[in-house]
Amino acid sequence: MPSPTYDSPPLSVTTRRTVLVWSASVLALFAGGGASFAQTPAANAELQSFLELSRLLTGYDDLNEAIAQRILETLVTDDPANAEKYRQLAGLSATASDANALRDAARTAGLGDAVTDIVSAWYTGTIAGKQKTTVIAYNDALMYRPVEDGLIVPTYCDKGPMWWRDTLPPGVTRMPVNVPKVL
Amino acid sequence: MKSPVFNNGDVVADVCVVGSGVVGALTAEHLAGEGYSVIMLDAGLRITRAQAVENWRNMPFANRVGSDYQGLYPQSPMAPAPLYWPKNNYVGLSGPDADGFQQGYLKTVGGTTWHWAASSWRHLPVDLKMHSVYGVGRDWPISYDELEPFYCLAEEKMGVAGPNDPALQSPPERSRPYPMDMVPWSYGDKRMAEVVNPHGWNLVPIPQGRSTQPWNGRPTCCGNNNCQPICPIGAMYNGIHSVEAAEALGAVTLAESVVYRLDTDENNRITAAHFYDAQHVSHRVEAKAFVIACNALETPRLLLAAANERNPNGIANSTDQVGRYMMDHSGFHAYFTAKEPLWLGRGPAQSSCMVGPRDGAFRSEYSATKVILYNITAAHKAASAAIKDGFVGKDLDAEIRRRTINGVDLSISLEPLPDPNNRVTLSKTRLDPHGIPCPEVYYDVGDYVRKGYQASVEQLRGLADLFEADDFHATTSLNANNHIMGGAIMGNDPRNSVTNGNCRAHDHANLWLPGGAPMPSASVVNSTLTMAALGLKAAFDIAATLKA
Amino acid sequence: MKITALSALVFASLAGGAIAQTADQDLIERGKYIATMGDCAACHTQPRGAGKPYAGGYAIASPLGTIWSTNITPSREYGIGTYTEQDFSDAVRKGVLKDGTHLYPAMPYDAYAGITDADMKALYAYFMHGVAPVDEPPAQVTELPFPFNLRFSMAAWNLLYAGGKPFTPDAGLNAQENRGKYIVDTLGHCASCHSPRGLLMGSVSGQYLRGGSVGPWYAPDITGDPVHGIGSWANEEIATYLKTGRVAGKAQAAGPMAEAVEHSFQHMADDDLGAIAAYLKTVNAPATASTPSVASRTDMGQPVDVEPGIRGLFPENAHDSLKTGAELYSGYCASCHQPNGAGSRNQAYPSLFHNSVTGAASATNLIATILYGVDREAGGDHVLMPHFNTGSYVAVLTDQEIADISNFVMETYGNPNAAKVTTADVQVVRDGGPVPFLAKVQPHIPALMATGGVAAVVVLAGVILLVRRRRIA
Repeated sequence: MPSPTYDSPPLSVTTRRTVLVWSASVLALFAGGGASFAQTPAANAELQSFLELSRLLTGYDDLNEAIAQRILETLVTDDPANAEKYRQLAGLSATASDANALRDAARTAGLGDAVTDIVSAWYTGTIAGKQKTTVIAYNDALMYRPVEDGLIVPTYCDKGPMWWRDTLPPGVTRMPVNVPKVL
Repeated sequence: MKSPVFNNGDVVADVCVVGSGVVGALTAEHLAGEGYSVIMLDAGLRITRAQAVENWRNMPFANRVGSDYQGLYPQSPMAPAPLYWPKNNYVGLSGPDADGFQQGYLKTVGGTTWHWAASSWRHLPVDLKMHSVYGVGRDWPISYDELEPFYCLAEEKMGVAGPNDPALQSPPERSRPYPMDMVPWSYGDKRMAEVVNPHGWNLVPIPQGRSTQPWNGRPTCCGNNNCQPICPIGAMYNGIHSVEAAEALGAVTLAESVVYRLDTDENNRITAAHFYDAQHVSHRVEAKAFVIACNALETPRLLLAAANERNPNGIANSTDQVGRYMMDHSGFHAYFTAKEPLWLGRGPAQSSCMVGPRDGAFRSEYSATKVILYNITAAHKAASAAIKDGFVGKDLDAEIRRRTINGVDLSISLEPLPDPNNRVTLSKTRLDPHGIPCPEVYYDVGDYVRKGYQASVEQLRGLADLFEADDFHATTSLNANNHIMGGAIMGNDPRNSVTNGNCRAHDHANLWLPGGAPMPSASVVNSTLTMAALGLKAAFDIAATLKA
Repeated sequence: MKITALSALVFASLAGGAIAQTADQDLIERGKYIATMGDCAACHTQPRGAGKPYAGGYAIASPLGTIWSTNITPSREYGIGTYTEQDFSDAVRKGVLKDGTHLYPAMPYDAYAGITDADMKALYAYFMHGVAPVDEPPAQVTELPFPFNLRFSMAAWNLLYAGGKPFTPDAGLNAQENRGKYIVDTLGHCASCHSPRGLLMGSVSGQYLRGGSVGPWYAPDITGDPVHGIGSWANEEIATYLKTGRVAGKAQAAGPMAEAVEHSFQHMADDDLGAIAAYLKTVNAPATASTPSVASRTDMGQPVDVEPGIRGLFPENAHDSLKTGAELYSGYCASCHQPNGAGSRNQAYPSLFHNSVTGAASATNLIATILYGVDREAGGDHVLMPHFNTGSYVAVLTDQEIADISNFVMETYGNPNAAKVTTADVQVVRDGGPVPFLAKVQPHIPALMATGGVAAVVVLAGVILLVRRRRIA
């Protein structure tokens, strides 16, 4: 059976950089308890600060703002003391050259868990809080990004039917010789 | 086309099938196709595919890392099934290997194949002659040759894709080719075969109920790597497909309908089944033939719970054999990090399996094993471990990548022997919301399996060496594999068995108990195809009986 | 297709001088190609190996009943084995059989009337010598209810709509475009589906190839109009579409067009596909080449991530929680078409934006795709999108669910100004498409006849049957 061949996609579109038409409605949806975050200049500054902190800790510049909003609200709602911790982390980040430096400085300042909370939220899409567990992202959880060149996010097949057949993973240059021979 | 007749919630049908999983539904489909009116009763809810898909995406990360394949399936509040996040202790467990018998099965229209991985193995011919060949376990009252046509039919009904080169088949004794050619291997499967097969591991393609081409309206597999807990696109066979096929032929399915009593006449034929609906209102089904296909744990539970005056120890239980000989392929996992990237996670949940240790003279001493190359992406497990280790930023990505693409997870199954002391009984203290006793299971895998475990771990250490791994470790506590067998075992002698070779109860001429319950030997391969074949064999016997 | 010496001999003795005893092999081959261009097999052969070539028995749904295609193999008893070339030509061009029976215009003889004499000769040679006789009748025979069983009435219809003459080149077109026009207007019979039909189902003046309904599907505007048609497509893209059934980022063939690609277009010579493209681009082409201010239907929409708006709103063991179009889209569609609508990277699962289905003014083809799926074999690739109708392997969706998904997809990824889909719209597509005026008035026909409108009725009957071929599920 010949492998299907297809043209290039019409646009260079990845899931990660999609137009976020939905952000407005998302904000409205989760405005409830944390309304203050997005609706005042101060709240917006808080969100931007959290985003900046998240960018440094994850190494990604294209973090989704709506997801950042939900993460921040959920973490602060779960433990109001977190707001102050993130302000302190933001202060530390001003002098941290990279993620490792910030983590180390945070640990010294007794804020190691706060770093883990933020990283965990972005990478797993879930916040296992003190009070309850909240799911915020699945496909947009960062944990799938380090392998997105060779694997898919389970349930989403962005590579088409039978995509794994006869294709080499990234960095692999030789298809194995099979004993016994199989398709 | 003939359908059951309803009257004030009571039902009259030719055939009453209790349980709408793969076995019950295939039985129902065959009999509806033969022109009989068929009613299927299922204890659980009728769900939609998209609901399960969205529930999985909405599941907390920890549950997904822990492979919680039960929690995403909503349950009828009146008919609990096992849950482990947290445990609901619906099945009471005791014995040395109680923790190894924490089964994950669904009470949902369509049954547990909603979250199976579609492995569609056959028993080996010798698996049906364990006692006469290896001096352990039991022989079946039927031969492989008698079962073989029903294996073919089950493969056809379930749309199984398998290797058509006999050198890659296990077993090669087949009268018909697979309906579809094998699921193609990914790089990881091929590289594993290249390395391990010269050492006798015999990594072969797993026959799978999965489309490798458009098949009867079923789409081609797209390797979205989510067979467990739900195939999002329907490329994998689920029991719901057979439920719908049966319904298209006139069968009717009632969800949230829990059978609790069976009436018998002076010849000990079953005359009616009584069931509760979701509001706990009781209804009655009259039929000429009755099929109980609730899986090997719930079938004996129902038989025991349905005791009546003529059958005070339970239905089909005149010789105290119901509930005994419970089996599962108790398993363990072996992990290591290969020196080279193998990129497991490309394609469906599993495509290759080592069947080298599936058979041999050693089986007179200890358990056979099979070793599945687990192929669900490890990104989530890698992320969990890397975050725990304190990685952040680019280093975190690098660590997730390393663990994911170099990691190997082998899922090993062990072969139990049928032991009359491993049994399902009714709880004396715990009742379900309808007031039906919950099941209790005593389980001890025995020395045969324990010796098999030891042998397998040593062999696998050598396998890890082939990949220059320095972090090999195997889990030490056995895990359940949800391949529940036994509880209504088949045999020629009613004194030590419950059914005959057609899954018909010795005690009741019009009662069939197909599926895992009558299997007298477990082999070491997933039980679904054998269960399906037994369901179809029973269906043919039912049709022949009704015609007579 | 082998011609046995015996059958050639038998034929020669019967057909006398109608054709030379040993038909020229090249002529037969050419005839075979013409039969492929005309897509004779689409109706006269049951699909995917269900029947013998050209033995008929394929069901064509019409609002007045099922029309069963006939055996057109050279079987003397059951086929056209006794036909002379003139008999053959009369059947193909005029819809009149050797015994005088009038065909229903499900056979596109109004288009085939334009076939040139040379092509007709080749086609005849192929059907006489290149097709194996099948000496059995189709399992089913057409039996329409009174008064539509009065086949002589078709003569009246023909006066109105059929009776064209063999194709003559248009002086305003170059040779390639004229070749394209010949294929489009005669053998390809494109207008049969792609031109709208008016009240009486005749072609609407000025609406040539501007689009029309085909059962549950809508055959879109295929003129050179850059906004409503395919004027924005490169000629090569049009040819690729016809050859493979798809152009990434523009369109994919489903329904009757998938069948046309599978049986006919993919087998055509590249030159002919190029000619079709060149000709279509001339129809309704803008006077001056300028970039239109409005996006064409293949350029609408953008990626939008559906996940942030819905993730985690319901518990992981929810039952019956998927209610909005976005939630249903995520559960049923996003696995393949992706949470941002972009499809798979290789576009085997097409993008839902930049897609003629979602960029259309109406969601008809989106609804039809959900209800009937896509099943197309071209270029050695079998594409199957499962349907979500009764008997689906994935799931059976309700009218409400399909309406909600359709509205979400059109608003989010396609033409936000498309008419909103109601459950009634879904029901229409589920039932096989809009019912033509004639079928609507059908219950009143006895009254009409009582008032002496017999002639009108039979004409109407002919019109209603006009080439609305649609496979019966």
